Amino acid sequence: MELGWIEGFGAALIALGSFGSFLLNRTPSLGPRLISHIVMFFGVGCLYWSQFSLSLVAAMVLTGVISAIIISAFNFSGSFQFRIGLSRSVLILRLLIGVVIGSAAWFVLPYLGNWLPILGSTLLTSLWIFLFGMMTFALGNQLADWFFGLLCMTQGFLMIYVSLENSVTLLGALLFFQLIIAFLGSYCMTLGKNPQDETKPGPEPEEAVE
Amino acid sequence: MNAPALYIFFPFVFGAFALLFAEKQKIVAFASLLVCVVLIVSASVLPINSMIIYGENSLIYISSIDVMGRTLTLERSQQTVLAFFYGVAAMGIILSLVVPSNRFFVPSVLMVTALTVAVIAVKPFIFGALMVFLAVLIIFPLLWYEKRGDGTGILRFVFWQLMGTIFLSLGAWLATLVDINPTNQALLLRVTLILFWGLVFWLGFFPVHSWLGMVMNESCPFIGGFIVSLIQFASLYILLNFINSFIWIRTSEVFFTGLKYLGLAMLILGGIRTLTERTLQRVQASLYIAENGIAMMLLGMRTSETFTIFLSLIFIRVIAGILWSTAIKSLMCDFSTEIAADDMDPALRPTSVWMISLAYFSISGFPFLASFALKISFLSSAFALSGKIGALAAFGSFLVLFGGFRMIYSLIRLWIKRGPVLPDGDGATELGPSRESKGLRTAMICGCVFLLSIILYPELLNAFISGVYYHFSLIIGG
Repeated sequence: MELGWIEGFGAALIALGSFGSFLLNRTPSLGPRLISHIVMFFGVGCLYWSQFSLSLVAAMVLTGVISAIIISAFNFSGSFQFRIGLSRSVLILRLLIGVVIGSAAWFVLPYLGNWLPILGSTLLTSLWIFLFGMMTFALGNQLADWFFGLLCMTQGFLMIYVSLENSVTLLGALLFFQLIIAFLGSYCMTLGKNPQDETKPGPEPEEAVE
Repeated sequence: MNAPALYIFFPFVFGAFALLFAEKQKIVAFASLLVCVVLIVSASVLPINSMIIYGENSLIYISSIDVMGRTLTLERSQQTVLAFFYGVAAMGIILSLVVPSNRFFVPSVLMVTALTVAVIAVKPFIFGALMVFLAVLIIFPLLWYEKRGDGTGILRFVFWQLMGTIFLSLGAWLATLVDINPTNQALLLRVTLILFWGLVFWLGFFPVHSWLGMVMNESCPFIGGFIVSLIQFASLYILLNFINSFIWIRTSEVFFTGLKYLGLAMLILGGIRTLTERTLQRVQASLYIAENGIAMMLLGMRTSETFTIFLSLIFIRVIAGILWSTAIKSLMCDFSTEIAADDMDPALRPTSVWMISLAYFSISGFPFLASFALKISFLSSAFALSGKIGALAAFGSFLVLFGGFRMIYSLIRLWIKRGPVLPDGDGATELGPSRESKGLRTAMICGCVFLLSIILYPELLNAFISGVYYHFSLIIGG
C-alpha cells in the first residue's frame, strides 16, 4: 500500500475525522463533531486527488461538508460551542472500541482486497468511515448521532462503490442521497423531539435581561 | 412517446409539482386520481412498442429511454404490472379521502409509485436498489411527522434499507464477475451470501425482522402499511430479477434449498409472533413476516405451480394489506398513542373490524377466502417435498390462522361481553351511532366485496399474473 504524500495525508485525515466523530458521539454540542466531519471529508478529497478529476473531487468534498453542516445547523441557533462534556472513562472506553474496530478493518483488509479490486488505502479508509458510522448509529442516543451515522455509512459505501464502478452517474446519485439524508436529519431535529429529551426536564427559561 | 416517460417521469413530476399545492387536498387527490386512471387505461389499452394512429397522424410508442447511461425499459409483458401499480396508487388515493391522512400523502404516493415502476424498468436492474432507497427517503418525512413514539423504529427502517441497498449493490457488482468466471466456487458462494443478506435486510427476515414491526407500530398505520406493502413488493420483484438474470443462481441448488428452509423458519416465527403481538400493526407486520416465509418457500420449490401461487399471494397481500391499514387507521382515529387490540371499541367502527378480519383471513388462507385455494396448493407442494417440511409448513400456517382468531377475539370481546349497550358514567346507555363516515363505510364495503370477488372470479387476478409469469419464465424454464 504505497501512497503519495497527499493521499497519505488524506488517509490520515480520514482516520482522524471518522475516529473523532465516533469518539465525540452523544456530545451535547455538535461543534466538535462538525469539525471532525469536515476534516474527514477533506481527507476524502485528498485521497481521491489523483483518482478522479478535480470537479468530481470538489463535488464529493463540498457535498459531504455541506451535508454535515446541514445536520449540525440545528445547533447553530445559539452561540457556537465547543463543549465535549464526556467523562474520561467514557472517552477511554470509546477509544478502546475505536482501536479494536480500526484494527479489525486493518486485519480483514487483505481478504477483502482479494475480491474487491480497489486500492488498499481507499478500501481501508472507506471501511473505517463505514464502520465508525455504523457504530455511531448503533451507540447513539440523539437524532444527530443517528443521522451522522447514516451519513458516514453512505460516504463509506460511496467510496467503495464509486471506486468499483468508476461511474459519474452513480457518484451523483449517492451524493444526492447524502444531501437528502442531511436534509431529513435537519428536518427531524427541527420538527421532532429527541427521545432523550422527553425523559429529562426541559432547560430553565433564561431570565429576562433588561 | 416512450413508456418510461409516461409511467415514471410523468407521475413523478406530477407528484413533485402537486406537493406545492398540497393545501388543496381534495383537488390534488382528484387530479392525482385522474392521472392514475389515465395510466391504468393506457397500460390496459395501448400496447408498448406499437404505432398509435390518430386521424392522419401517427405516434411511435417505444419501450425504452436512456438516462445518464442507464436504460429504462418497460416491456409489453409488464403492462399488467403497471396497471396494477397505478391501481394500487388509485386505491391509496381514494382511501386517503375517507380516513384522516397527511396532505402530502397523495403527491408522495404518486412519486413512490413512479419509483416502484422505475425499479422494474431500470437496467442494469440493480439500480432498482437505489430507487427503493430513494422511495424510502421520500416517504420518510411523512412517516416521521405522523409517528407515534420516539421514531427509533422509523430510523431503524432507514438503516436496514440502507444496509440492504449496500449489500445488494455490492452483490450485483460481484455477480457480473461470476458471469466472467462461473467456475470459481468461492466467488459464487460469496456473491450468493452477499445478495442473500441484502434481501434479508430488505424483507425483514430472521434475525433482522424487528424493524418491520417497529416501523409499522410507530408510524401512521395507513402510510406505514401502504409504503411497506409497496416496498416489499419491489424487493421481491428485485429478487425475481436476480434469479431471472443469472443462470448460476437459477441452477444453484444451495440457493433454492436455503430459500426453502429460511422460508419455513420465517413462517413459523411469523406464526408465533401473530399469537404474541399486542398491537394490530405489529400483528400485520408478523403476518407479513410469515407471508414472506411462504413466498421464499414457494420460490425455493421452483415449479410452475408454486411460482403462480407465489405471484398470486403477493398481489392479494398488497391489496388486502392496504385495506387492512386503512381499517386500522380508522380504528385509531379515537386515539393519539399506540393502541392494543384489547383497548378498542369495535362497536363504534364495525365495518373497519370486518375489514381487518377479512383482510387478515384473506391473506392467511381461511377457507373460502381469497388465498384459501392457493394455500392448500402450497401445503400440498410442501408435503410433496417431504413429510417433515409439509408438517412444519402446516403447523406454521395453523399458527397464523390461530393468531387471526386471537386478534379477532380481542377485537370483539368487549362487544360480546357488553351486548348492545355502552357504559356511560352513571349507568348503561344504548349503543351510540357508528363513528364511521359514509365514505369510509362505502370504501370498506367495496374493499370487502373486492376481496371476496377474487375467490369468485380468479380470472381477474390471473390477468395480472400471466404477464409477470411470462416476464420471469426463465426462473421456471431453467
